[in-house]
Amino acid sequence: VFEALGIFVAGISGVFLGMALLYISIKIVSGVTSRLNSSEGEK
Amino acid sequence: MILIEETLAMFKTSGFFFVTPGMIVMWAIGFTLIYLAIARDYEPLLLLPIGFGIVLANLPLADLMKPNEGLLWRFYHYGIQWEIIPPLIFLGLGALTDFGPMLARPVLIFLGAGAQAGVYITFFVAYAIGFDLKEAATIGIIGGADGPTTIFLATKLAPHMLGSCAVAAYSYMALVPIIQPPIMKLLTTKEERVIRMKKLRKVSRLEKVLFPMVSALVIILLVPAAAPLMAMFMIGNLFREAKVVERLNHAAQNELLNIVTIFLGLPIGATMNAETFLQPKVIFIFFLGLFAFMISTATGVLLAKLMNLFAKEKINPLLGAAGVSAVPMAARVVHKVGAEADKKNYLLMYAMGPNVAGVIGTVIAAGVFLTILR
Repeated sequence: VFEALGIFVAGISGVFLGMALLYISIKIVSGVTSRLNSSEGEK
Repeated sequence: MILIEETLAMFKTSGFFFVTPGMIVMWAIGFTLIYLAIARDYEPLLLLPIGFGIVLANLPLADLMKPNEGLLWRFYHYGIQWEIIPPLIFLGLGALTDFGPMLARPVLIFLGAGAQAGVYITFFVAYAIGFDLKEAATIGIIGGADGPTTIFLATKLAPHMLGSCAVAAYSYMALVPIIQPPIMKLLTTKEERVIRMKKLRKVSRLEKVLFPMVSALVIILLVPAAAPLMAMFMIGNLFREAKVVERLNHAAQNELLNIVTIFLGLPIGATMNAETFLQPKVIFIFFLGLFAFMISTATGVLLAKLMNLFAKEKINPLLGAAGVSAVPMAARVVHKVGAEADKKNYLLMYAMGPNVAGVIGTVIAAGVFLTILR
């Protein structure tokens, strides 16, 4: 049972960690691209 | 007299002489799936070839699933056991997927994670009632509502359960409009269902091009075991968003996806022979699969409600139900239930965000299972 509980906790944490990393990546990408777009607009 | 004896001898070498009651039951199951596919339009692309595969695999002496000889065994061995077909399906799905709504409102991706809680809760329940860890993981992943991922995981962890888990996953995916709405309504109030979402921002082409590369890097680094599915999913999406390889994009979305779908359905159906399928355990698999699906829907909705306790801009909690990855059916159901409460509330585009995030979430969930259990 402890092994199953370990997988349960690791699994849920893994999924949320993956999504959190993805969220941060999206925020970084959108921040960088909006800066690039605005600097291109200024030119 | 000789003629009669020879006719009898020939009859004894024909398949008719070796038909068992179990085979007849399997034919009935196969024909039922074919009926549901044709007459009721339940996931016909998969249930039709699976149903026919079941019938073919249960024809005596045909040996279509005989190792190293049978035609369907070759499809199964080289296509599924060799991990070729599920990743190719993901290539096509990637080419079909628009991540725009998810990129426009990235906080909604957490709803795609919330729905995966159902996968792990079902895993724990299945283990508690007597399945071993690998079998329990394979049953749990049905809750992700993602057929190719279920097949991918079952092939690696519990190949003897491949057929039943695949049929359960695709059947419940077809039943999303029936399974999800009562749970969604039960867990939300009318006031919550009428919450309108803020207009989505415009996502630039550069963001859409960068996303598949960045997400492939992040997810594969985090869960390397998910690499085959994630890599193909994201290269397919890059074909779509790059806009410079339209031929590849078109082929991945159409010809390739159609061809591999044929070679996926037939051998999966063919793994379901009377000896392995007609067991009490299979009934539990179907019940637990349904349970997984229901819990995934509920946890998605509940997470959205939890997020609303902290969020400045409220999220319509119905969107949580789209976190199961049945794309785009779950998103459509969210829109429909939302529209029942407020006709002018268009939730479809917003629901597509957690919906496609759910696909990634299920792949990560499968990757975690593989990392620990393989």
